[in-house]
Amino acid sequence: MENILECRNITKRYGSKVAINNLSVTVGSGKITGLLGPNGSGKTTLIKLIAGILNADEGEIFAGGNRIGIESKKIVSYLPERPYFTPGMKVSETIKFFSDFYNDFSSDAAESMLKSLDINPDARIRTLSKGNREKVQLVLVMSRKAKLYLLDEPMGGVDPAARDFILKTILKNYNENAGVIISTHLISDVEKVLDDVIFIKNGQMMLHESVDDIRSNKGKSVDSLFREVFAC
Amino acid sequence: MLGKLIKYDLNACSRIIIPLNAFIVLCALFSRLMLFIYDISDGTFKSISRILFTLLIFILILSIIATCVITLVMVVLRYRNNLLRDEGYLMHTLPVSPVKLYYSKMVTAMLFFITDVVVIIFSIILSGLPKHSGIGWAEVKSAMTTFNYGALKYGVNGNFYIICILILFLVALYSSVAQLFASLNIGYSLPFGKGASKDLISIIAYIITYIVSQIIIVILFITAALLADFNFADETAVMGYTSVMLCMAIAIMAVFAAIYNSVSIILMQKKLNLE
Repeated sequence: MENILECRNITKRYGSKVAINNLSVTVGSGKITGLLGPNGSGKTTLIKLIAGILNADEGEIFAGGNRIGIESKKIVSYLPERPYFTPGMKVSETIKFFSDFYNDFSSDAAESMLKSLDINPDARIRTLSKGNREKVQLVLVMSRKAKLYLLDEPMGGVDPAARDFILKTILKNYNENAGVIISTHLISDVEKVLDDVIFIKNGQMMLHESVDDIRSNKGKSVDSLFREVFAC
Repeated sequence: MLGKLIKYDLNACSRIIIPLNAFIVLCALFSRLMLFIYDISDGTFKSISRILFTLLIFILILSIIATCVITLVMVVLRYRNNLLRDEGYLMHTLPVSPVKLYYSKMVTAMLFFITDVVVIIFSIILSGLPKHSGIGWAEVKSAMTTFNYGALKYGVNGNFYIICILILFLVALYSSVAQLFASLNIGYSLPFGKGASKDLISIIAYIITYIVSQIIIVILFITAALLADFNFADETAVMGYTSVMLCMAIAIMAVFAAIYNSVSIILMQKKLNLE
């Protein structure tokens, strides 16, 4: 199994604060990896570094064998934790936008998913509820046949029914040869779909293990191991 | 990719810019109509058309000011929101270089400002205001001829002057937009402040860059004048000096524009700091 992501000794500082501290990690293709950690542990910073929104102060990151840049962005599909569409855009225009910029984007898949969600393509983003805006973003991100999906808190602030929809959408649409990294606090919700987990604290990796190993070797669920490792 | 980025920027902003410019042209057209009625009528109609003409000219001037201000605000907000705030999460993860992202905003801004200027000039001519004030084509032509003749007398080509002024306008406009963008990039790249405070830092950055650039310009011009042994009493030399100064102003503005461009692009490449 080839590694779709390789981070080598990366460090990221915000002023004097070290957000990521000499972190090295690899993620294999075809795996769904949970990036788990308490608030301020560096999860979002790590995802932003991989997405190319931030630059590492030290170290190197490779996605699909490419350094982070234009080539890596062609194969990475990123869902941030916040709305990123211009509020005045129509839903149909966001589909056209993705289709114009990403060669791996399937307009048909996006339109079909939005139809099943009963979201009007002519509606402007600003008129949609917060939940529907998040769904539109997720649908577009998952309508790409990317090699690496970066999902930052995809279920943050949505109701349990929407969480189920989000998980189903991820599982149904992601390319089986692709890697998926999901950053979340809602461990019990995602645990059932995860292959691997990465625990991160103060910008350093605490653990990188397969969910099966955690269950068989430690006899614990990921949720209970998380509570144990990060107990206050 | 640059073409696609520009297309989306034009689409997003033209919803505001086109109606504003259309309103200016409409005001100008109605002003001209009132002037026409004023010219052919008498009595009450003449008085009413004169009042309406004055009123429409007043609205035209207000709409010109509003259009310029709105265009400026829109260009700044579009850059800030699209590249430095939440929408930046989408824009900076597109398979496009920061250079192209930057130039897409620059090209769009320049297109909108130039459109505004062209529409304003066209509307002022269309409104009949110059004609009403006694400035017709004949007067403009005569002024140009006098200018050309005067310039030639001192050994300077008048058309060269006009071309220089046009180039200076374009370069100065570009440099001003680049300065706005650079200030925003500085404000949003520093590792402190959030939301409104980043805007405040951007404003402070703009004021500082403005003051510094003005000081540099004054120093350069004074130095050039001293080195050239500038003599105001010699009329022939004054025309020659001013053409040199015009070229120098173009060069200085171009250098500033290049510096502002580099600041913005380097900060977006190396120090992007989306909240």
